[in-house]
Amino acid sequence: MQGYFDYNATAPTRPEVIEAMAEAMSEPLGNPSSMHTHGRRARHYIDEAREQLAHLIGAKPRQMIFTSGATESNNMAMRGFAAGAEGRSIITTNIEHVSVLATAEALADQGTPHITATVDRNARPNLDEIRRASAAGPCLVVTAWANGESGHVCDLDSLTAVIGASSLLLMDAAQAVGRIPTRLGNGVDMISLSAHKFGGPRGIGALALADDVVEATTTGGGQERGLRPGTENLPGIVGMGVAARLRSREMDGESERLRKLRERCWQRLRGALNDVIRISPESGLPNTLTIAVGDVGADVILAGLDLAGFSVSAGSACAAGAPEPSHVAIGLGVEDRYLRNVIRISSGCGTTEDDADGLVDSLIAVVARARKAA
Amino acid sequence: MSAATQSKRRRIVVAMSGGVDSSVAAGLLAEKGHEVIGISLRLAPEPAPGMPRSSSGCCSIEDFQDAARVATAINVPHYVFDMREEFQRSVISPFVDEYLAGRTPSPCILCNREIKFSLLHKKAFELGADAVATGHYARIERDDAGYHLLCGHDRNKDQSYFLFEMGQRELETTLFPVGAMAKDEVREHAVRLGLPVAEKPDSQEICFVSDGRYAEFVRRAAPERVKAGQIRNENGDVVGTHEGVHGYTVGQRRGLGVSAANPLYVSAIDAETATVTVSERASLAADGLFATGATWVAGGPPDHRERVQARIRYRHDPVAATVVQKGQGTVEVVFDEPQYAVTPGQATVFYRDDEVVGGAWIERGIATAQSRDVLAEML
Repeated sequence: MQGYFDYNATAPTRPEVIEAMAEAMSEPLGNPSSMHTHGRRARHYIDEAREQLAHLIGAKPRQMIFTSGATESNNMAMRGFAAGAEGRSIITTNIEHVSVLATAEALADQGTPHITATVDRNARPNLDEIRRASAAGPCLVVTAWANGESGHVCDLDSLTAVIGASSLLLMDAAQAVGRIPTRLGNGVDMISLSAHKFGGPRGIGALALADDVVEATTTGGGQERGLRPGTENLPGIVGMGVAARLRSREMDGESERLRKLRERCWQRLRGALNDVIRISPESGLPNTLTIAVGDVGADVILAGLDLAGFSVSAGSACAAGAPEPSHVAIGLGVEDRYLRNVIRISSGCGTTEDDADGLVDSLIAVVARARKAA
Repeated sequence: MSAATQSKRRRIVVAMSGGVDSSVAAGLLAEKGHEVIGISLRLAPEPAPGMPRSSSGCCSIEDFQDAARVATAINVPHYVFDMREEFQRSVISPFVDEYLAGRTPSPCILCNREIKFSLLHKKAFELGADAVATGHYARIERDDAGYHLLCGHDRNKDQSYFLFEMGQRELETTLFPVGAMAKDEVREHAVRLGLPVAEKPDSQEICFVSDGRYAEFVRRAAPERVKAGQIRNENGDVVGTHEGVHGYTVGQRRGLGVSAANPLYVSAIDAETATVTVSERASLAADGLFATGATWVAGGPPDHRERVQARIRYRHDPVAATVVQKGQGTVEVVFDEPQYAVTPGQATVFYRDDEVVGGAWIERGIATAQSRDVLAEML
């Protein structure tokens, strides 16, 4: 997709994925729970996809619960944890995805305390706060493996070191899976993911669970170990499996390519523009470059780039779609004068060097025009 | 592409509320071949829990979706810009302050000055546009002397009153594509252009107070500043009590909760002492008014010997009047006929025939003797 630099919002579906899904949909497959040939064939498709996905995150197939995406996975894990024994609490940072923060707030209203750890400029959470809170009782620590707005990647070792033995860690890996190595285990008790962030279809994702640590919050026919009952989304699951297989194979090379592309963009922007700051770190997601340009609003840059044929994103958008100051930028302590100017350029497997150069040229022109008008 | 390719294809930002007027404005400009960019402004904050959502204002998600559907129908790009912070600062806060000061604000004028013809213009120029179009019912004409702001032809819809603070710079870069049309005509265009909002009802209320309950809005916005007080008659006798001066406006008759032989009206509001004064209608007559913050669309104020037509509120039948400049931005206006309910906080706008000369913000009404003195001084 030429001109598309919003892979962190959603990535284009891979042609191989579309092909596999079309095939799965045109075959006469039964309900995977049915005890007949058609049902068994459907079950086979699902088993295969489960293996492919599990492989991508170093998990066992039986540890994977298919969901509609990371939002549902986060809800399932957090609500399912809170539904356990009394005295549990939830710890997050203040820069998590809204599906984490809103769920934690909703649970807090229902009596499960929510402790919010602040982060520093490099998105490192205050570990003392987490240590203190997790020592107090069983708690679920929830944080992003990679922050979708700023690209910061979690320092897992320092985090797991402070989490008490009675507590659990849920990694919201929607932006990380398929882009950087992510593994279940070694202190990571659960992983949430969405297929459409790594080339799979929308509306499908998973919660990976190292152990049976959450209560079911939905009731039904017992599918997905009872945690996510309901007839499986077979085409979606097949598509996600294929995307996972592709990412397992390509990830290392692709990461390096996108990292170089990202640095090339940044060097050019920094050279051409006065007063531009970089929010996403070099050590962050290889595909994500989050910046803010002094005196030019994200709204003007987004619209200006769109008119020139390029799709980027502001750090955050309200329900109406208007860019607004994001809680991530605020949480990271981005200076006030840049808060409404944050834009995120996120690339992926369809991004070419020419395309990236074209984006940078346009961005420089859009900023120059805006500054001239002011 | 027709006219514009022959003249000049311009990049024009259209402020799209999702209503029929601005939708047709966008549609007509696109039809002429201009490069139209639709922008909807997010202005009002989310309604507080328990408060109704705006249904036909201009700030609900549904309205943005309408604007987006119109943009798709006429094949132009559409964006939503978040201006809630500026709107809060320069429109809502003054609105609340004014009511609490015992005055009756006119927020649409502030929104036009601070948001639509200031911030949106700035953003439009930054996007490389050379003009901003809105769906206002008013006209802009140009001659050797410069730009003139004129009433809309549809007298029922005319919105020139709300635009009096526009100056030459704003008029030069603004377009009112439906300003010369009647509302029916605008709806016909909407149907002809296939816009999905052709049947949408007009918005009536102030957009950020969706249910029209201004007093309740003010109370919720600043409960700590609301002061209950007394209602007195002209003799100073206490005739009732009230829950805060923000619930009253000069000239108001209904809802006073005071019984008397003849109908009573609010004649004065003193926020300092939280006193609302009520009088019989005759006491509400003023022979003129004192106003500040005067601006002039085309250069300076009218000559003090000239009779202009003065409006003292939006739907007021203009009265012949004389405008006397008292100092920088300060004017006294002397009516030919006494006017009832001169309301502090509202704007007075001066017309010469169809043309807006300028206007100012009403501080208070003045009585005959005073106004005669004003004139005597000048003549």
